[in-house]
Amino acid sequence: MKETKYFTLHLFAGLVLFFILGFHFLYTHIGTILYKVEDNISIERSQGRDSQTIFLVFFIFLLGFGLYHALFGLKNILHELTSSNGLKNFITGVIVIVGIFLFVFGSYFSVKAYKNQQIKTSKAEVINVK
Amino acid sequence: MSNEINVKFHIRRYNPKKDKSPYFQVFDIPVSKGMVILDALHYIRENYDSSLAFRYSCRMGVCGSCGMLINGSPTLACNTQILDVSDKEITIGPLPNFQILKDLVPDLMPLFEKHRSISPFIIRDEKELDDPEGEYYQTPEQLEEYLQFTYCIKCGCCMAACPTLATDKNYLGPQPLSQAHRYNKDTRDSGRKKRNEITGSRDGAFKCHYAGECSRVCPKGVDPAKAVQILKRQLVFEFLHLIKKQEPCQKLHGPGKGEKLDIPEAPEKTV
Ligand code: HEM
Ligand code: FES
Repeated sequence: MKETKYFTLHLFAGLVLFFILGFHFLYTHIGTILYKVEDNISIERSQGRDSQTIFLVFFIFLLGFGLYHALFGLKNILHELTSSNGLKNFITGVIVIVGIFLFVFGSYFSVKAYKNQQIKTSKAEVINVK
Repeated sequence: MSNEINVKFHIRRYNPKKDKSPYFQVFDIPVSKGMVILDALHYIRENYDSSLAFRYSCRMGVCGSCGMLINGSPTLACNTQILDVSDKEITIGPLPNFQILKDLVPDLMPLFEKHRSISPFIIRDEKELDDPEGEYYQTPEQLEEYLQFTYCIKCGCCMAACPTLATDKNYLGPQPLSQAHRYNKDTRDSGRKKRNEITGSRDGAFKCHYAGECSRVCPKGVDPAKAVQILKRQLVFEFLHLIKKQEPCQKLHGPGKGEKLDIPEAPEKTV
């Protein structure tokens, strides 16, 4: 039944991705595509998003659910290429390690970008006040 | 006979004791309307090569012995009209995804073992099963829920067509999974939880990606792909506690309200 648990989470992550990616698409790209309005993918706007807590949470959710969904799917595909249980366990092990590494790596830099932007914003505020 | 035509049969031969690898042998067979593939194989054995190995028993699509790969499609040799396949050339091989015992005879043991692993029988309290006091009640609608899956004859055609089984021999496959669904859906059964352990495991239902080949080739018109999708949904819902607890149907008590009937003794033996 363990696999049922993991598969249910895989489906749930797919569902979450549907909304998160939907939001990402609507927020970031659709204006540019449909109405040729503001360039939402410019570096300034991207950095602007980095500085907001809500986007930090959003990025980490996207990263976590995206990684789980994609890597569990990849594990399924790779498992089906072999009948050896030993190799299957090895594949699972490698994928778990890669997943954790990518999650930590991605989260670390999201937090770092968030902090950098916060410092920049507060400096800008100080200059403005002066 | 004047209305006979000659059809070329390419038969895949392989004797693991003698041959390094499988090879094809070609036979010209006079075919008339009404002949099935199994007739052609008998013709070859009687007239050309008595060492050709193939398996059959009932000759009427019931026993599931004669499954083989006919022009690329797994099906029953006794149930397939030659002229429906081709009037020129036909290629016959053993069912894929199984080891070959000899020529057209696959080793179906892995199928039977996987089938056994899902407890393909009604599971109830044993005391109750031994108690002959009444019948289980099941409505025609409840029977309809699983009836088509009871038509499985374990010929192995669905297993031979499954692309997942082609690379992963440990996957349970469409036959055992559809039979797990058949018994899960039977209102007389209370073994779903026990079967979930197997069907919800790493080699269970979640490995199916709905290629649907199993349902396309089933010679009995069973839809194993559908069974596996329902099984997946049920496993997920059960995990999320979104399914009602399974209550097996009760026994109907006949005359005597559950007491043993007054059945007269059998007359004394006369011989
Ligand atoms: C809208 C968002 C998404 C939804 C609703 C979604 C849904 C699903 C579902 C339901 C499955 C299970 C299929 C099965 O029964 O085996 C699946 C499998 C998979 N998904 Fe997604 N997915 C989404 C986005 C993504 C993304 C962005 C990636 C990759 C970056 C991805 C990679 C995979 C992989 C590799 C599989 C395994 C394929 C397989 O087992 O055949 N998915 N997805
Ligand atoms: S010989 Fe029995 S199914 Fe073909």
